Amino acid sequence: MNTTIKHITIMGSGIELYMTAAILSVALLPFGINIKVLALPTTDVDALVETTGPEFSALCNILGLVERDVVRQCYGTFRLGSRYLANHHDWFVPFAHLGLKAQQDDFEQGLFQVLKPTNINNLNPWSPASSAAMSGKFAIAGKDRPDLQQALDYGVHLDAAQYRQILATLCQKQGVEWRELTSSSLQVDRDDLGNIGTVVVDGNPIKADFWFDLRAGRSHIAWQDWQSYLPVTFYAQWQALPTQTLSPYSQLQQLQGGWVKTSPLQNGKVVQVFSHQKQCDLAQIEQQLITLGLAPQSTISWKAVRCHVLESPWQGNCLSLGEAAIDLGGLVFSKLQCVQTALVQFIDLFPDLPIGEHNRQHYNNVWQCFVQDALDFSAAHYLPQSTSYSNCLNDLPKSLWQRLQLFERLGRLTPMHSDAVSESQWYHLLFGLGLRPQLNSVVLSSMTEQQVQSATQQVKQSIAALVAGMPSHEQYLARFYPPLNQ
Amino acid sequence: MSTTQNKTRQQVVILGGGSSGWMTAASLARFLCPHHYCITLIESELIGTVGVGEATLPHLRSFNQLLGIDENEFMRETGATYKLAIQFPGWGAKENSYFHPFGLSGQDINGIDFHQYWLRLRQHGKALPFDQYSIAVQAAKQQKFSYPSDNPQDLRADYGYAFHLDATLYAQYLRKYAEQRGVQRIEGKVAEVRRHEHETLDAKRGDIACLVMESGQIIGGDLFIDCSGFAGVLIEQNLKTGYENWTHWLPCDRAIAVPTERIENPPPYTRAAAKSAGWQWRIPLQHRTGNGIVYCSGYLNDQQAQDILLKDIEEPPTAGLNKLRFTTGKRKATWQYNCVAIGLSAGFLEPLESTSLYLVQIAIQKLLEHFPSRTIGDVERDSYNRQMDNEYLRVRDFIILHYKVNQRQDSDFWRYCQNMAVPDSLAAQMELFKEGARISEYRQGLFLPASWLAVYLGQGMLPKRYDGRVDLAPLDSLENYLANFHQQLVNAVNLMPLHSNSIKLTKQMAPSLYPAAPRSLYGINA
Repeated sequence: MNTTIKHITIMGSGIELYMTAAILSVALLPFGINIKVLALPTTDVDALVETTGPEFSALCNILGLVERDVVRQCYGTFRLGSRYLANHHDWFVPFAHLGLKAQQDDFEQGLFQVLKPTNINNLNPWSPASSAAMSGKFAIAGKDRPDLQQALDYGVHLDAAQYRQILATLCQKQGVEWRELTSSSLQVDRDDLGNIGTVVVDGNPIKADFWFDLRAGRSHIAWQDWQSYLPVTFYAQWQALPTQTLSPYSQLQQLQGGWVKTSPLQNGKVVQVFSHQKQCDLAQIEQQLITLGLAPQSTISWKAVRCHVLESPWQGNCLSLGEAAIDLGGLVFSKLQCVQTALVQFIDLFPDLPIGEHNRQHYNNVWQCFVQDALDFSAAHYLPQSTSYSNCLNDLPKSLWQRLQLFERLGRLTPMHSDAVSESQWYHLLFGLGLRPQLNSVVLSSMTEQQVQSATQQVKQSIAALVAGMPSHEQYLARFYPPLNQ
Repeated sequence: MSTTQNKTRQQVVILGGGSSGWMTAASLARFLCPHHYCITLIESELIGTVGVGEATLPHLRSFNQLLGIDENEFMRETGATYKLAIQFPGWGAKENSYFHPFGLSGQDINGIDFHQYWLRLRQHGKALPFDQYSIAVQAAKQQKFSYPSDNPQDLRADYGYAFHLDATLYAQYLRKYAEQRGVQRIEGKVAEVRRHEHETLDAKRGDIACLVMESGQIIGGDLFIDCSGFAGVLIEQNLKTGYENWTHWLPCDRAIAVPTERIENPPPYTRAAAKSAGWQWRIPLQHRTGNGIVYCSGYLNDQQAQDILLKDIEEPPTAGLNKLRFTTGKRKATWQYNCVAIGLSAGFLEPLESTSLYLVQIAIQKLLEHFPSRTIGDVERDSYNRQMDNEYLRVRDFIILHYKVNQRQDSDFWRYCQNMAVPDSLAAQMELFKEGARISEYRQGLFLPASWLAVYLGQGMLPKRYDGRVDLAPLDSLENYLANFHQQLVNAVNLMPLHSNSIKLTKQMAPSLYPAAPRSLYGINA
């Protein structure tokens, strides 16, 4: 006889804890499921900024939040993708598709063909989102223009502390039972199958039907270490004064030995540094930041990082989330994005008691699909500089190696395993990394070079005209999204 | 080597006509520039075609659209009728029947899949059969057809459609299309296949160099496409690629086909009725009806199969019997050296789910995406093979499912199928469903959850439990909701024209007065 889960307890800290409680409460409280939180003292430094992808709008809908209010309350800015200053070039990776329409047969391949003999290093003029972003423009298309909505798909930058406050208020409103703990050590009674029986807090045993474990820093034998693919060793962040212009993108700048990411907010910008240097060489990174004018006024506080993933985060009656399950280094995917993905997958497979082994296994398999795509995309940011990766099999995840090879040869992508990364993001990233397909698409072979060139030129002109009519990101924010706290 | 072909152009040689040969030729002629590519198709009128794929999937609409073929003209030229579903009598219990529609059954409620609610109502004896909540099934039952709506809010948007067509006429139609676009057809049989013995600038050792015809003519090529059917003249007889035999999972190995007279108002669905050791198809075209029996020779001899077929056909035969033998499986690699096998030469899966032309179509699409230069690289070949392997495996598992979850106790054949081991991938999928009514949704390949549900629930494979969250809804409200939903479907179908009237319209309609082909099997909302 199966019964419904009635009591869920979440253990952890930070914004990921608030997000978990918020999503679960909205999805499960209507079904009479009680959500309890054991909030541990934060041992880690909370992120200063949350950078989201296009999933943000859907998430607001799920949580019943008004997107506009969230952006305003969080000093938010919009984000059409990421600008890269890397490989000696300046290029853009948007969320949205290339060209004017999604799923145009072989438009990308035609563009690669046109650009092959040139020294153009980015696809910006052929992407509405990239063009707009690089011109500092932004607008959200109306519901009557789903084509433009797709072409200008966006995420946001949010002040993480404000965002956390919104989630906390939501949890409170939902009636989540919240217990702040003073000690971060919990006595967790777990059997060999991973089932948690009780958790003892201040001498009192707590029971639940299902547990979510977001506790960071636990050593776990089942972790896969990704240091060889994602060599981030140290991380630092600080808030800097606002820049004169608010760009509708995050900027990723390659350093010797790392990356620096800047994210604009309406009340300042956040600088995040991801180093893959040894501790003794961090001074080199700091020197580069000074040269770039990005160094903080005080001493940089570095945090050690080691990228890893838990192969099967759902064990027994407990799902590990956040840093307890995965750390991708934070350059491309934030911890919060990984938590959200995991929760959406979990709710789709929401179990009854006793928990089915196949359901759990299936969740872990789906999770691995996300992990594989996310790892490939993140690892591509740490490739050695090269115009060919055909001989790098031993240094790369096999799926990434196959993807690089296929792109180098045909300008195509191997099939995705999840929604972690869009095809467009891959095209822009691989092109930006300097890869150029060897073969042209036969689908376009009946067109002359001039015809292909002219077709891509027309698209470029149409995009330029479209972008010319858009307001600047700052104008748009000032008019529709001024900060609530001003 | 004496060859009349222009060596400055890349030579593509297709061996074999029939549906797969001419679909390939037409597609290549549509996209490959005649200044850079020369396409030759070799076929012999002395070798018959199998005529596979008279029943199709909605994907064929995308294929025709890609070629720029007008759908109404296509229907006139191929004697096609519309198809909304496949009916499966006798696959669950012997006396039961269900439909696998090209559409969704029900709609999600509060973010939880419809079938979870249905399972709860069924437990209380208050649900209609699962397929009755599909508009495509309602239309099929009433022999109605109209185009799906393009408004996602409309109930009539929840389905797609395919065709029943005359495969021989389709091949002829595409031949005309291809020849008009420069494909050169050579009549005759291949006597010898010659391969490169040494590496050259454009070819690797072992690549096929040329085909020597019985007439002595030599056809050189850079890329050879084997559409020679079961024989696999290039991919198997010459390149010895090897074959994965799947008969332990799909034991049927023979078929007998017979055409019968046309049906006045043809049903807009294929029928695949289970028999004592196999199944019998019925495919209504405009000018005739296709019939046939697929059976396992280990349990049914040829005469018995023939007797069953002729006893159960509903219209008088119009021609003699056509007998076939096959081994279900797939080539170990469908692209070997400079040879790509497409259609029956690549593999054979019985047409229970009308996948034959889909597998041809997807092979062509993948070939175009991976089309090589004169010197073929391992990258494109390996990627193509990986993707095609996946396509075949997905279809294989879904077809095995029908046999595995049969509920029949009336023959050794069906008992064997119930007890046989299945591939791990299918076993995992089935266990997931049995445990809690969940379905693993593939990212690549055919058949999404709507199809799996149709078979599981249609054949009576029920899970141990459903999502407990649906118990929160009051039973009466749920019952009313489903009853209203069903009534809305029936009302919508009542307003649709008869299938035969919709077919008549294609004879008068201007080109393009039909909806664009969606990429999904189940309509625009899937």
